[in-house]
Amino acid sequence: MSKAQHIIIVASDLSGYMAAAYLARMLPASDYEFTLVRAGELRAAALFGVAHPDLRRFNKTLQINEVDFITTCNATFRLGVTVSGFGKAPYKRTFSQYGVPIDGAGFYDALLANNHSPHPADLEQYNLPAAMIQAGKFTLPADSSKPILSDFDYGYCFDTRSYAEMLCECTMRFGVKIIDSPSVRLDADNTHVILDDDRVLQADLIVDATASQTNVQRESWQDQMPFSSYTVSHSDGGPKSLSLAPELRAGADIVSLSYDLQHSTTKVTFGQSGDIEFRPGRAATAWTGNVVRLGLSAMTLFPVDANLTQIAQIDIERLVELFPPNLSAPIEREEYNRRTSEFYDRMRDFASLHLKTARTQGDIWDRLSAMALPLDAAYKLSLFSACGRIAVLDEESILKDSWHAMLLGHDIIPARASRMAMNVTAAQLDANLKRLSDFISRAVSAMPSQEDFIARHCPAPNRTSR
Amino acid sequence: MTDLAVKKIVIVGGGTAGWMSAAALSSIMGNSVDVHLVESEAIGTVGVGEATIPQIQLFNKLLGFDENEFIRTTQATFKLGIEFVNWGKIGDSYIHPFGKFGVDMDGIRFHHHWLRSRAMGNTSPVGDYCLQVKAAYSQKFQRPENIPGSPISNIDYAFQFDAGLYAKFMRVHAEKSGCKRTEGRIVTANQDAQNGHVTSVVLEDGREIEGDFFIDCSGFFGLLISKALGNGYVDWTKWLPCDRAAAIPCKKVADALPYTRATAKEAGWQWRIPLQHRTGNGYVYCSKFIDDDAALNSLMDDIDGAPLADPKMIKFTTGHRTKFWDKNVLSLGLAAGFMEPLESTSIHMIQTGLSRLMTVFPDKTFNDADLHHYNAETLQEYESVRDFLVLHYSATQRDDTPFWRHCQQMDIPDTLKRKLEYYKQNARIHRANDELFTETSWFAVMNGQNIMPARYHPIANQLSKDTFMARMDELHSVISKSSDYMPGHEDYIAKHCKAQEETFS
Repeated sequence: MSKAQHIIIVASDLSGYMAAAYLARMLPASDYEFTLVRAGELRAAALFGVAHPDLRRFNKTLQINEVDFITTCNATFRLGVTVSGFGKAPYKRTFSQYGVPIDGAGFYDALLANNHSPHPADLEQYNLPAAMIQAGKFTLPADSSKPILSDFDYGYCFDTRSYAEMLCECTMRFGVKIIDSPSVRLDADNTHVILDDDRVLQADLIVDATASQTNVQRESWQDQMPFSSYTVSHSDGGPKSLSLAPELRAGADIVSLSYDLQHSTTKVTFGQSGDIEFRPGRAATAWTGNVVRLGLSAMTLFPVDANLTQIAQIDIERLVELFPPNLSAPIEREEYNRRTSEFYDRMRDFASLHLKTARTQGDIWDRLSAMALPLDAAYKLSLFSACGRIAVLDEESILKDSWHAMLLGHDIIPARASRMAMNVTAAQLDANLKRLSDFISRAVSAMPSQEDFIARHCPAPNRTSR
Repeated sequence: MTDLAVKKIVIVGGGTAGWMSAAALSSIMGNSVDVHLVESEAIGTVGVGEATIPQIQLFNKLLGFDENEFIRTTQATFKLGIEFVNWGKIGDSYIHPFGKFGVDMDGIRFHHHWLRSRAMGNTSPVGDYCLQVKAAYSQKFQRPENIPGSPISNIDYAFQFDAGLYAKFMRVHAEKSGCKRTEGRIVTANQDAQNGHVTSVVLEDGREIEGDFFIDCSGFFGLLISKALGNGYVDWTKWLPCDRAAAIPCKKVADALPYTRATAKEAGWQWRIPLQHRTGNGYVYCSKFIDDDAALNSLMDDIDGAPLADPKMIKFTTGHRTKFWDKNVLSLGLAAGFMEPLESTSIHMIQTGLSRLMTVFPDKTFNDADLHHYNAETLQEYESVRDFLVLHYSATQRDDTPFWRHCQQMDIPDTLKRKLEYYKQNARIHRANDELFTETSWFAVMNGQNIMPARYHPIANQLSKDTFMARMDELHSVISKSSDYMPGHEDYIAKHCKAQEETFS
């Protein structure tokens, strides 16, 4: 390569800051030049403030120390999500499996075969992180391989603006030039970026993380996710117990997502009359010409799994994995788009099934339950209803166990269990359940509370949230 | 729920597929289901010495086999990969190993780094960075040993064994777990007048065997899936033109190699599978380009020991049944489809068929969701294996015979075209749907058959030139040292799992 190629990242939501840091870390400085354009105030900050365990890998690659991250970002630990108002009882989805296989049969199959309730609300004592959320206890997964104790995983709830600042420090360390420009225009042929002082920057590749949904043809998901706006409220916390999982709660015509940081609580309420517009859907094509869309400009998803940060990360990692040596008309673009669309559609399937199968009362829910599902989602539902199997499709990142917990939590019970479970007797099942719940309750009672754990290892200075 | 449960499974045919099914089903579900196998000794089986891939270890484990006992009773040897000779050009050779090349660095595959080093003048073939390749050529073998950080802790391997003995080994296991066996030739099947489901099979002597669920392992003939239920066959000969094989075992004349060899010849290719007690050989060819006599002569010219039996001639059509599972009949093995054993996939596909069946095991309603799931996944697997096999033929520079000229010009599936195009530009390997063959496998064959990409991943340039070359040198020497450390293949067998002279038969 004779001359360095220029990559511009235009950031309005968190995905742009993540992309700038990661691309500059991964691509050789000798061959690329980077500019991060900070386009105004961080948008949708509250929606990105919940992270899956994947973010730990991301931070590690960027050499961001975990304790620095937690103390700077006012972060708490996250073990899953608590879902209320969707099924007959609140239940938890965690980042690890419920139960253990019994005599070669899957846990749920063994329950079904013995007429034991498979509803996750009735199974919290068989899932270590669910029991930890319930008890407010936290410790790190064991580092050597110990069954159950090393098998769970955690993410964070964190302050997005502080994280964006940390990422800016990284980008500077990796040699990225930062420009502030409250408004930014892309020209029609997408080869340069026009700043608000009318300066023009030429680029070989533009990462559009502007959260704008108008530049490109979109596929709307408004029928499947009929919430057109949201409001955000923050409250500064006094001394109180910190939740280990955000709560997703369904009401008659709203859905809310709330989560704790060390010194504040954030609540996002989705409905029809909020002050911020929300338009679920995705760009028909994420990468056109030399513009790659990321974050909300690529896809806006109703966050039933609280995973917008994870989605941005997976997109960025995919972009790096497929990064073309030659940016003019690269063959990787088509592949990136194919995989990205598949990935988005799997997220859509999960969210639309999540909303459609809710047992909540209200007009919006009646309409949802009559809604036609996307084909792949319908197939998943019919297969699960018949025999309890989850059809895992290409590019799927939703955990199999999340599917199980969601469908069973919404009272969809498979017509029959796998035949592999027929040999599991009631006595065998009971003995296994007892052993497991004893083990888990002993383990949890030995753990410190999350508050104590944080106080000891990673307390954030108390400041007012912004 | 209980009255809908399948109570009796009838397996039709007792070759490799039949007895593998019987062993798996009776040991996993024997308590709740009767498993019954019908076979006729008058009908031969096709099995001629089989090479496998590492996934077979899972199957052995599931059924609780002791690996050393399994090796002793089937006269097995260990297998680290497949050597392909004369495929790109005459005189070429490469090994497709059961293990990765090098180590991934900066989150990208090693092959990009190797391509960078090559552009910088490195002349070491990529096989020098893979323990399996190095060990295979040096006739070394051992099972993985827990040495942290060493490639020796991570040795993937499979087996080469006698398929006849393997079927017998499965039979012993199946019968121990309660599988019943009936000797007899099946002449017809009875079907339910309403829904067409098979209700029983009828033997030559008039006996009738009823069942709820039938597994058709009757070979190419497809007694139930095709003859009774009328399922057609999708012919893939236009992509994989070979349609015959001649097979012959010969005397072992040297130490058994820890790998299978596939040598490209005038109108197809010849396998060489070294076992403990003999060597299996066979010529897979295309009858349009060579006649049977000439093929047989060519086979006999290229075996290295005295023949131990008469040659066996096999005719086949590459392809698959339109439905692998229809109504209450599931087909496995050759009844489901055929692909030449170039990448040792036949036994593996029986195994994945069985594991897929276990996850969606039906009740008597045989509902569409289960069948659809099974058929769609199986088809996907067949197509991905097909593409990988076609690659070996289409990525050739040979033009010395009409057969190879045909292969060079042959149309290939679009999915494969796309993969090739993708690799040729920037050394990308696209792996869809968790397909069987990994990026390592695709790279091994494309690189081994001289396809050179125009560029490689930009991240491979991340390390400075000196640091990078030092790392490559270090990797190279770790692989050599590790291979030196390993014992010889024959020595390892002698110490752990030597077969007795007489095996049970």
